[in-house]
Amino acid sequence: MEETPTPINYCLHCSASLPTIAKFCSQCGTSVIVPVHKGVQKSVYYIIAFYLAFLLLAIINVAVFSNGFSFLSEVVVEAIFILMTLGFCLLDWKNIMKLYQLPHIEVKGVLMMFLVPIGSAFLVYYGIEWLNDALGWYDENIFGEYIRYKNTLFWAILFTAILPPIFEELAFRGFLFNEMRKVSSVQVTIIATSFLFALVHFSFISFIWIFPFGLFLGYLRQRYNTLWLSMVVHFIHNFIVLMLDYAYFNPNILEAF
Amino acid sequence: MEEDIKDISEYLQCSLCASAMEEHYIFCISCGYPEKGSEEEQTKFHARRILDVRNSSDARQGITGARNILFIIAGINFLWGIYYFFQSDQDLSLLIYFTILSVIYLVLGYWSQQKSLIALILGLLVYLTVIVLGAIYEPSSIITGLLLKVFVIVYLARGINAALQIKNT
Repeated sequence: MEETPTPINYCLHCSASLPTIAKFCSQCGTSVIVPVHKGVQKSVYYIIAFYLAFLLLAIINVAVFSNGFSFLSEVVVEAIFILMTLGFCLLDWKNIMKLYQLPHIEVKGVLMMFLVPIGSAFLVYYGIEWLNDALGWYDENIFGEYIRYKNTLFWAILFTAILPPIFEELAFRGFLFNEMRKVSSVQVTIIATSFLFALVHFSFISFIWIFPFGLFLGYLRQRYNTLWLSMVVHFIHNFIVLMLDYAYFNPNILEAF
Repeated sequence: MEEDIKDISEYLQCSLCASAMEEHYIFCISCGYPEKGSEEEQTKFHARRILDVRNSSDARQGITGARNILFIIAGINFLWGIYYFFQSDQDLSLLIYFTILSVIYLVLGYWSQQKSLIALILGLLVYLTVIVLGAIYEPSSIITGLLLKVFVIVYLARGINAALQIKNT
């Protein structure tokens, strides 16, 4: 009977041939396990640096808007956020570009992509309104923040419904997700990226709904290995919330339809 | 049959971990023990092993310390919430804020028993976020309890480092 050849590795130190199960070289005793810790360590540093950059952005945001709300300050903060996101993405550009491939989505996926954000937008909008009423808190109107600009609706849609889904998804479901994945399992990665996504909105009350929303976005990113779906879901959610604020800010708009 | 028994009796084993060894092996391929090495090499191996065990034990202690810090912060935040609630004519918003924060620390502390690296990273980032948010609303708050803040950050960072060390080994 012919013997099955044992698969072998080679010791990087003395070139001795070794069975694949070997953890140490049989001739020189050197560990032959590929050291993964350097990659893990680098990813941990990237994750921390990435989040610290967002904290810094929060400080810049306050500093820029402390002299008053203006279109220029809005553009400056948004530009810093975009550049910062792209800067981090450059560190893992090849893998991130793969996330822009068009996915094959089954009917269930398409339904999820539209129904979940529609449901979440209404639930969050009226849920937050109810909570604010119950606690006697001021209910912010997103559309109202842009009312001092010309073409209010255009800028509100751009800064609320278009840019955040594109770049937040790139940052959290792109760069951060990839780095987390090098450190932990898929489930932990989805939970951790959603956690940081919720945390970076700097509102512990909003954490209650942003965290589960992030879990859904993370699930889509993992399930279809693309950013397109999470971008669309994020866009639909933000767009509906903005439109509700628009409708309530200017009740005449409903009569126009 | 007799031949087979003889083969088994002559089968080489590592005297430390009992893994199978072939005739030409000097070192055990499972634990790295210099079975056919010199006495000096064997002594060095044992010394290194003791050092590794000690490092590993230190790392576990580091993780436990960081976990305890998360539980302590959770408790402190909850107490702050209750204190502010009664101090500010029963303002619910502060109580909700501190309770959510407290639950987050508690969950992360508990989670660090299974996923120490990620849970401690998130714990550190939550803590830094709270400091930054506090400084944004009240710049002087950054100096308040500065030593305690540094202590917590150092402890959590040590925990992350220890978790990395454990992951490496």
